Amino acid sequence: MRRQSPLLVPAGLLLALVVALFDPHALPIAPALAGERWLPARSLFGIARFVSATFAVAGGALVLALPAALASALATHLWPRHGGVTLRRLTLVAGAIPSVVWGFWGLAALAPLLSRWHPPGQGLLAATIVLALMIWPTMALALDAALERIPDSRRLAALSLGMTLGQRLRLVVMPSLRHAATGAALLGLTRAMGETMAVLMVSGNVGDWPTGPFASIRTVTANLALEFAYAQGAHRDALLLSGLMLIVTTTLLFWWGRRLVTNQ
Amino acid sequence: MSRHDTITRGCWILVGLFPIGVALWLMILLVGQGIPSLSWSFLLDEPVHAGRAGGIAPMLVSTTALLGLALLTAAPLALPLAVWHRTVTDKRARNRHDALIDTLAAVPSICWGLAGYVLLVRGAGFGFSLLAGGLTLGAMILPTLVRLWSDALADLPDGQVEAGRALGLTPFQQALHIWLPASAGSLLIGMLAALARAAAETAALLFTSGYASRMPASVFDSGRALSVHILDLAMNVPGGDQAAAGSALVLLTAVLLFAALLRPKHHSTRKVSL
Repeated sequence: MRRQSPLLVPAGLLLALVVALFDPHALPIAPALAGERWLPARSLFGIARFVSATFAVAGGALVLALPAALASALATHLWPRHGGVTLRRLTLVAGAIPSVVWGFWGLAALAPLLSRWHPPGQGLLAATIVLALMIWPTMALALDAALERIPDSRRLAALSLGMTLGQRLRLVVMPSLRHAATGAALLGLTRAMGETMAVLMVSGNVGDWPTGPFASIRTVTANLALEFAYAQGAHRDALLLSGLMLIVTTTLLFWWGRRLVTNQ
Repeated sequence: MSRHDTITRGCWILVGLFPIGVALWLMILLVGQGIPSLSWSFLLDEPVHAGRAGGIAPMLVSTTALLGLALLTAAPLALPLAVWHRTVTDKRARNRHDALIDTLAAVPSICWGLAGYVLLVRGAGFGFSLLAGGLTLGAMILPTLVRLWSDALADLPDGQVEAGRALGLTPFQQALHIWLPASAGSLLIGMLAALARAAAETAALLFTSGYASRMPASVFDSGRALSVHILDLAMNVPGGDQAAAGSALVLLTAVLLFAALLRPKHHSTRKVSL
């Protein structure tokens, strides 16, 4: 018993989370969530647009952040001696920047820049860029650790074949990174899907379908942040249910990503 | 190394520096916009006109109280877990523990806020209060703290652990007399890094500690964290940008000071380059 009992603490917390968000009385609302319109006053609780916005923003952020993370992880290893250590510390620090601060930067710097192209600049693209900037450090650190795990024997073999650095990266390093890169991408995706504040601040929040770079979108998390404070009755149940769906989705993606990152 | 390799290497380093560069741009922008509003009175006064003027003193007090409560909640649970993690020999139990902790760490923070609202604000009847916010925040940083403290204890040499065991000390005595003194420094750094994460948090506090911008009188009062203040100034208060930049600069400085103490887990010791 003593061997396993410490597991009760995290398991209990997880259980508390699910119990808090799962209300059996709210289940009859569940089918309504699949609808397209979100008009709580008229008892329409469709979150299809919000879900698609969440996937669009998180997916877009992933597309931007993965190459950035890969480049920065490679730079950490290619920079001779102390440069790499410094870069790694800077990556850690960049990952600690609070999301409201990124949101503020998005409003104060990024949106004005984008609004020259298409005022007011807020929307899908702005949210995607801000999210990418928030998630690349997590992914870079995971890739960095994976680079560290490439066995010396493999590198030595490549060196003794007389490969150039470019060839070694393409033929040895990249193939060894395949699983870790997928895993890092999934970890980044879960973080992007769960992120609230920065997205809320720069995405416009009207709740359009994510059809263009300047669509004023609203993610599932932003919808929670905007409406939960005053929601009552069925409206509240619908919001809690969408929160539960978010936890289940991110947890499943996270487990998949974690398996890929830790099992080599 | 050939010239061709040097060029490849240089290109990757340049591209790899780009995202760091954007993070630096953010910091430079904040310093530029935030410095003019910084002064002693900004730190020590109450906000006026919804925060357009005046200071951020109540938010600093609320944030400190929230962090203190979060630490009081998380530390007593995290420390035994971290110690257990270092001593347990059952590999399966440890893997299961790691998986659970990581799963908790991956829960979106707004969901912690929802759970805090349902269980503490309504369920336990705390209302919108620093207490509800602090407990929620404590639950949220627990997995981070366990991870950071397990890493800190993992650096402890096996000899120290075995010596304690050989002296016939109970696990509690070992932890108290050997482990904690030997890794006090890294435990402290881990704690500060976890607090940095808590201080950066906004979404979990919206529905637990609330928005009230007056000075909190007790832990049962609602209190506005600094991060929530920045959100409010940037989103809901026209003309609040100046004060938002100042507040963001204060928050960023505190968070980065705490976070920068943390040393990366692995140091490259390999002799063969990529």
